[in-house]
Amino acid sequence: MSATLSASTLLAVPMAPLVGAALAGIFGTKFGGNHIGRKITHSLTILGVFVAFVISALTLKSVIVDGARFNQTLYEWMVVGGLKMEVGFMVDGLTAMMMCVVTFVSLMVHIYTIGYMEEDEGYNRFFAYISLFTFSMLMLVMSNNMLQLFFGWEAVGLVSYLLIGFWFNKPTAIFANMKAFLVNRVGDFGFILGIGLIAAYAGTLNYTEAFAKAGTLGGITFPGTDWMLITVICICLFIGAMGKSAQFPLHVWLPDSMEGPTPISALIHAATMVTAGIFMVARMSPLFELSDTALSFILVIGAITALFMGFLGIIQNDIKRVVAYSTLSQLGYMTVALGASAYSVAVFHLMTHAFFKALLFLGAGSVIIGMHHNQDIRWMGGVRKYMPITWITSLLGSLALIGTPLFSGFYSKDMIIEAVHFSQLPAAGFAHFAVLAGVFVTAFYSFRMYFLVFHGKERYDQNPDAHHDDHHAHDDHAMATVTTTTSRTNRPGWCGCRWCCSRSPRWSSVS
Amino acid sequence: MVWLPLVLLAIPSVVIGFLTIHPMLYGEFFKDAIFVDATKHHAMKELEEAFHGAGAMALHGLQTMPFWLALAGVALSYYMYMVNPALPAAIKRAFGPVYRLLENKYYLDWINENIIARGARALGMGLWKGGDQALIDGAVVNGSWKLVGRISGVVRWLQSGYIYHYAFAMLLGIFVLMTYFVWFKR
Repeated sequence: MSATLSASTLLAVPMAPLVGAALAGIFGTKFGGNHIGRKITHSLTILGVFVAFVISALTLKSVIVDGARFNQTLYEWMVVGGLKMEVGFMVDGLTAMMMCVVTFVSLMVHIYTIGYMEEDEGYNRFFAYISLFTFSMLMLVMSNNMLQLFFGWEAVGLVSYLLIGFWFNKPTAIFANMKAFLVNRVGDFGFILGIGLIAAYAGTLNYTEAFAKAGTLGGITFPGTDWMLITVICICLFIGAMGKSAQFPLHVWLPDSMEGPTPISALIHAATMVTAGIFMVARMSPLFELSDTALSFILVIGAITALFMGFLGIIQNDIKRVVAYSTLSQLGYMTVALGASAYSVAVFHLMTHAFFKALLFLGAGSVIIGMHHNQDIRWMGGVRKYMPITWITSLLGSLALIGTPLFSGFYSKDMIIEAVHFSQLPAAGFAHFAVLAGVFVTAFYSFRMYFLVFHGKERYDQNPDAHHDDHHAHDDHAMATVTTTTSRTNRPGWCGCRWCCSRSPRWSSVS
Repeated sequence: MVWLPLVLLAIPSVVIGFLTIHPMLYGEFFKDAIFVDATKHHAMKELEEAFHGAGAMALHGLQTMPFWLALAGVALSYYMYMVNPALPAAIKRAFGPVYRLLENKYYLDWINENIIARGARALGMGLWKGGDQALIDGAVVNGSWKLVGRISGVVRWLQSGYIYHYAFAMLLGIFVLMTYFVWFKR
């Protein structure tokens, strides 16, 4: 504990976005009577997230420079039979880094949303949701006990549900958010069993106290069986991580979550929320280290996800789904690193991935807007001429993703491959093969998408499902447009293009 | 303003790995946040021994398998989608079953919807109709008052209040008892 970190300053980090979300959600929507307009709404929420980002950055600085640490309970909610339920913060290197990643990506997404959602009727509601998400995610990463972790875990799940179904009059979105909700409940069931077992045997929900008892927990067998208790706890906790971090076979909700608006795909379903499982396992490393069985299980699940979800990325034609499967595959890489006991490598990949995957998603969002809500990469091509900034930044993101030397993805991904190589768990051989083959697959689908979108012939008019031919590319002020009609205001509801939701590939020449 | 986040995100995407790999993986940064039992799991220790700085790692990366695999992936995608766009369709035709497996996402959605979700709904429906409605509501809750009603219905019919009914019942009783003692209990 250090004097440089004060509880009230840290409290401001999650509270600033929460206040922004509350003001935007209550006064900016029909619920509170539409008292504040779009401009005030986005200013308020961006201000909240900006404050959170600045304090997070300062916290990271004092953690690095002064070695400051913070671990304190701020509020005791209740005591049930000796089990304390509290709200508190624990700030160390892991938390400070996560705080910065979350607030930075969230800030970027807030700014991007001003342009992306400008024609949407739910503009204010959207800002309220993403600020609420930022609050929930910060509560999750800053927590010093498992109850608050679980609160944040469920709160991000709730906001994810609300945002996947943001366009609630679109049947596929409603199906997708229900699916995400139900699949996550399966994972959460395991997660809460794990927390319950820790509470039952360690008698505490506080991280520090629970980890101090890790040694005794490691020696107990599960009653009625000859399984080690710690293995059961770790596998239960990891099932929670499988739901949230979309690991095979609980990954099915993530590709469908692309029904939500693109900024959400970048923030929640790529950069931050889906990495909560990775963060949780890294945070619980003193427990996971005690069970080789659980680590082998993690290694196998991660390896399956990393390789087989990559294969699916190859055949997708929807630009967002390609990126979504790539996210699944990269989450698999992080999980593999966890299984190989290289937690810091997993968190390192989490951080680099957060930046380049958010970038790729926001780039994809630019392309989608430019293509007038066509998401099918078969009917794109040659976009680089119209969207130079999107083109260059997407290329940089793709190069980082495939692990080009000197790019950020290279360092994290190579370290994962090496870590698995050195691991001596029984499953390490399979995992090593999977992550190595995954490199080829990643490079292939990433550049398949890159070439189909940004290079080659323009195929905008070949889309058999497009009834109207006013495709135009607009990439905000900086980009040239190929607009024939700029009728951007006549889009009611979620987007108004009749062919958006009825698109189904009938024939394929490029595939 | 759409371009601003793209640029601001592109900068860390490129440089953050190079800048932070040393402090994050081999420095003190995660010292008291992440615990590794180095005697049992020595991947991190061996990584540290093999690490000689971010620049050297990038240089060394050019000679390793992942780099060449990635390069091969990019080259293949360039060939298949820029040089010879007819090839993907041909591959798709040649490997129909594999393609269908991938297109259906390993049939996991199908399994979830048709086996797990349908099974869960069937189980819930069975418990609702069979367990709740038939057994608990039908037999226990409603069954108990229905049984009382049925018994009291019979009793009410017997206690009619007419003397001649009771006299008839007594005669019937005497007849039954006498039949029993005189004929069967001889």
